[in-house]
Amino acid sequence: MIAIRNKKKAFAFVLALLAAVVFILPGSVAKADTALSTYSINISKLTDANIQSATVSITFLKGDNSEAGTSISTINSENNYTINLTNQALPTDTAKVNVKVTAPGIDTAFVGADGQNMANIQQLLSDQGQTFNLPGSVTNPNLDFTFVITDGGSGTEVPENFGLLLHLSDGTATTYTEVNPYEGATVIVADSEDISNLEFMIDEFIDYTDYDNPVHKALENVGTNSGAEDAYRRNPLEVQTLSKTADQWNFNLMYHAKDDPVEANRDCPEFYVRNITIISSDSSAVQVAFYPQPFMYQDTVYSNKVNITGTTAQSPAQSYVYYDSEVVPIWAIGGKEVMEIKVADGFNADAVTIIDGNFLSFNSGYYATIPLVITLDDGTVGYLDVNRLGLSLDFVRTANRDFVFHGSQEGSIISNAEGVGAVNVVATFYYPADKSYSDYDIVANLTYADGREETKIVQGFGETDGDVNGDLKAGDYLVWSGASEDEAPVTVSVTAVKHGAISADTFGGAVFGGGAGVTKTDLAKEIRF
Amino acid sequence: MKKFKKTMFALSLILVLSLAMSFTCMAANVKDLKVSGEDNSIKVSGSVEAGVLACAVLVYDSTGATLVGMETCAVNNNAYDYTLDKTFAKGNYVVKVADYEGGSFETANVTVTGTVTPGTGDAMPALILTFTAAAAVLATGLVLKKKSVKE
Repeated sequence: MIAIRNKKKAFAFVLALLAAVVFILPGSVAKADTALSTYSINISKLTDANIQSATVSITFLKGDNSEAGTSISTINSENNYTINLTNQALPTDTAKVNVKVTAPGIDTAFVGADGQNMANIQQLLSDQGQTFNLPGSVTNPNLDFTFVITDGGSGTEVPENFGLLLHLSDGTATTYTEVNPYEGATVIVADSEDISNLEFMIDEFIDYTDYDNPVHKALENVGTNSGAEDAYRRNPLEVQTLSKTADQWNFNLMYHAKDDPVEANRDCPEFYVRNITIISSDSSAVQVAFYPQPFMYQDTVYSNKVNITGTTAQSPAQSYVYYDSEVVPIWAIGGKEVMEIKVADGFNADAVTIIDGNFLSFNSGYYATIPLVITLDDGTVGYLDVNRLGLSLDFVRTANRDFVFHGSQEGSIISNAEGVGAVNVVATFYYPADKSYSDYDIVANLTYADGREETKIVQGFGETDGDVNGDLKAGDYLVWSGASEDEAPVTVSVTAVKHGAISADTFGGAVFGGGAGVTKTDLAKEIRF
Repeated sequence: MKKFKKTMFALSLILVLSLAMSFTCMAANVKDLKVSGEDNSIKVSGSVEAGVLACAVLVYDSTGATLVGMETCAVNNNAYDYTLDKTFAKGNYVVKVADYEGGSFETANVTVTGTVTPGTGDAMPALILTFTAAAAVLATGLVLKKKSVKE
């Protein structure tokens, strides 16, 4: 028997030993459960940098640095953006994440950023990205990674009202005046008959803060074919083409003044203008305006200024609007006027009401596409389909993400849905903000690869904002879930109905969708992330 | 200025239309229904009251209790004539048609003939899924505090 002379000291020693095991070595205690619940990667900007459209590439790595999986997100906010990765979204055995940010227009001239994160920024923007170990302790769940991307900033605030003196390569010189940068109704008429090869230079930035006394800032060698290159070998004048044909060019324009190799240009405000249109003088186009604009409508995909030159009843131009817009104005652009709008022959004219020659009002949610014949004052007769948007379909692989996409925005968290599987088909319906997803059901018609067909009535599981102004909500409905993509329906058709519309005695009413419904085929192949 | 006038006119129209829509409209209805079921298809036709712009077509199993198909169809000149996209197995069904906007049903029974038999490409019973209401989630703009970042 061992005699313990100082029982107090011995007892204290044992306690200390236990404390070391339990508190000082948390990893060993937590071996039974080493996974964290949520990782959040947040990217935010500090200065006037616009980080929208930057790409975040995440590579999940195992302990031996072999690849476990990847995901790619496009930043859809000018200010900050968060990627939430739950345990379910992480590939098996993930021990590290490599994060790489591709941010056009963002340089590494830091201004007042947090010291620790600044060290990461250049690495994040490099080809190799930055790798972080994932902590393995449950004592600190929800550990966050915050990366701050900054740029030097031009130091010159962009005035609310400004203009650009443009010189087109066909000889057209015109001053484009930006009264409201967000209206996107800018139209430039060019003499060229073929827009597809058109280039332009910007000779001046004009500050119209005082409209009667504009301030002119001359620009040297700024243009689409200037040959100028910044430190990243990019033209500091960034043109984001939405569509370009021989008749019409729709684009967003962004000028990174601080990156301009010409020093005299660098104090110019870094303007960003959306949805500029250059149209050939012998061409015809209309603008199809609508409000509100749901997130499923992306103006980088759909343009609301549509060329109708050379269109036919068999090959009409396409436009896209929110299905429940109160009224849709249709105007000619480029100095022309609409003389008549009517529905195409054979289409139910009662489906719409045409008011005062220019305004379209919808009378039924059944008619998802309205074929129109438009006559302009120069004799042009054009054919235009107005496609109504309100229902979208997403294919969600929970190994890749835990949210539903609403356009490029993050929607509801899919793990909130009862019955979620490894792969899921989710319908999103857009409705007024004073309504809720519980006010509507989705009727889904599904067809499987073996020919089996299924009809189901689905209630929603969540909702988020449906547009940038808070006028819409977007409700999410889990239409189908399963273990593998092979089991998924090959064709999905959805119709929105009022909640409880399907009853034995009377029909409560449909809201949007015609025929079998808004349809997508091979959704899993179309949506890869 | 021209653009401003156009914008103001559009806004005025929206206001007028909103006021007009606030008044209750009398519901219009489907007047009759004919249905046929050859070649594993269901076709519906009939007439509607003025004001009906589209119809909803619901197909139930022979008991009339289980929904096996629902589609919608256009109305032209107060008449509808529509063949559902869905394939139906041989057997008896109950078909109901109502105004797309809502209303009472016209109902008829149909026997579908053809080569597709029950159990081969047959419709599954309608499934109603109820989900627990979840708190609304804002789309973007979440900024979470950094705790520690260590390599």
